[in-house]
Amino acid sequence: MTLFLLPDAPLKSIQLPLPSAIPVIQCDQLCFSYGEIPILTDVSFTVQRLDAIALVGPNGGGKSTLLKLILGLLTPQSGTIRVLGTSPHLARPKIGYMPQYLQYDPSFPVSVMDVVLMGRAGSMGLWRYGAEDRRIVHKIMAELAVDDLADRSFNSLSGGQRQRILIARALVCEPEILLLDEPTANVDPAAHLQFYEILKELANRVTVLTVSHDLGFVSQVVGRVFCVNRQVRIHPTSELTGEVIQEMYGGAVRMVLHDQCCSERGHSHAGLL
Amino acid sequence: MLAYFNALIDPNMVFLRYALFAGLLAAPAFGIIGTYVVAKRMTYLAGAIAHCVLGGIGAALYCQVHFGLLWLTPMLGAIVTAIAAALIIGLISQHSRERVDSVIGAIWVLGMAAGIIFIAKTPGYIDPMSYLFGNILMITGQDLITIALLDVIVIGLGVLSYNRMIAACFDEEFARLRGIKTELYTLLLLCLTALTIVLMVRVVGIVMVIALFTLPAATASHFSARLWQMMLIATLLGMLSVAGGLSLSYVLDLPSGPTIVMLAGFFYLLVIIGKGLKSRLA
Repeated sequence: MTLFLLPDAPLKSIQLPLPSAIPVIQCDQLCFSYGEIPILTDVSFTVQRLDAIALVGPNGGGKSTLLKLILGLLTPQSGTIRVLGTSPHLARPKIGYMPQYLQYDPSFPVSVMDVVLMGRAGSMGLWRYGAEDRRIVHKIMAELAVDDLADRSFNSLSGGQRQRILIARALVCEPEILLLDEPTANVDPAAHLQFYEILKELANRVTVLTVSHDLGFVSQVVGRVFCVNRQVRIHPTSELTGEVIQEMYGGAVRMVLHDQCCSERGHSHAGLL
Repeated sequence: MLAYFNALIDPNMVFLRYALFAGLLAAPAFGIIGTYVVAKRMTYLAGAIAHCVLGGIGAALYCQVHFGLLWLTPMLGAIVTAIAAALIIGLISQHSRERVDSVIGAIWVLGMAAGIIFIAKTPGYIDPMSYLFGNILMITGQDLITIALLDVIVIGLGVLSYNRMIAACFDEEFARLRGIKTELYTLLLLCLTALTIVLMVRVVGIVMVIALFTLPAATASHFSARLWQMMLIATLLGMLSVAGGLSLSYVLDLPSGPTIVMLAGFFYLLVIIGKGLKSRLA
């Protein structure tokens, strides 16, 4: 892997000016519900700088909701959430985000470069991207080994390529926190492996929270696993056992040995997706 | 066909020149805004704004006759109503829990109904048909100046907001996270749509103006890998439809608005069928 070995990758800008005492994310007795339906109740946790965390749990358990609360896209009914020592809304410029579903129109005519540049939309000038924006986009795309795709149409890419482009888009704002919502959904097994290599590298320079169903892989990368199912329970990856995992998913889960790339939802048939 | 070119330079047929100028002037605005409308799938919304415009035209005519407000031209009435409809639809869809499609439908129909009532209560013979389906005889030199001004506004704002607009159209949530005020850009797009509609109401009428919005852009989308290419091709197709449709309507003695729209539709069908055949043969 030659990722992130460029000589003058300016990691300094990513190393926080914050005093290390301030947690990156601090959640205190957070409650959130959609109307009458409680999604998260009494959630408290602290994330320190350069923590790498996997969010696991059943579908509808509140993983995506938790990410959206951290992003300030949703507001909790009670409790507090502080990101980088301030409100989620104000911290947004320093949060990179890769959504689970891109509400993406396959006929939308846009180049890969255009898509990645969208990650710099916050720092754009009056009406167009500057040389600095393009420089950072090229740098990140080179790091993720997707710079040769820049002039392609976004809708001509494979699932794995698209995933890496969306990670690049999340990274070009030079975030301090990276939130990934099921980054390996709809991706073929080879791209799966490649993604975890990328994630490993990323975890060295930014705080990462990733939603995943793939505990087998992700536990090699992250330090802690947050089990999100109405509540959040925290397990260091060293403590993960079959019982713990069964408890997180609330019942019988058939475990699959991860010699080959099968998620617990079965094989992914890239061609059919 | 020669007769058409002779008619174009005939000093007694100034309306034909005006119609051609109006169409060619409006084509870039239609190409740019139509591309956004097609890419963002808000054709139905543009339809509501277009139909609602009849209310403003009717109200302006009514006020001109009853209150002597001669400055309140149908064009001005159309502009004000179109912008108001765009803002109402935009704000309600962003802030109210009301079903958006119901609101759109209501604005669509109420605008037309108000227009017909105003026109019926205005003395003198006014044919609503000429507003609904266009009448190139009605275009004045003053209209051309207004069209040119609106054109400058629409194209200028359309180009200036290009990068933020693609970000907002492609992935609204992500754009918002990157600090783009997506609600504001949606409202801006709706207002630009409204202004663009007014540009061509005179030529092709309220009912068919949507065709000029969507057909060239939809045709162009089959040849475009980038949004700006789609805008450029849609503009050229729009110009071709207007110029070709006008000449056909003159030569064959057909109503001009419908002929322009039929030609735009013909290009679209041609491309779809051509693509279908190509993929079947390949």
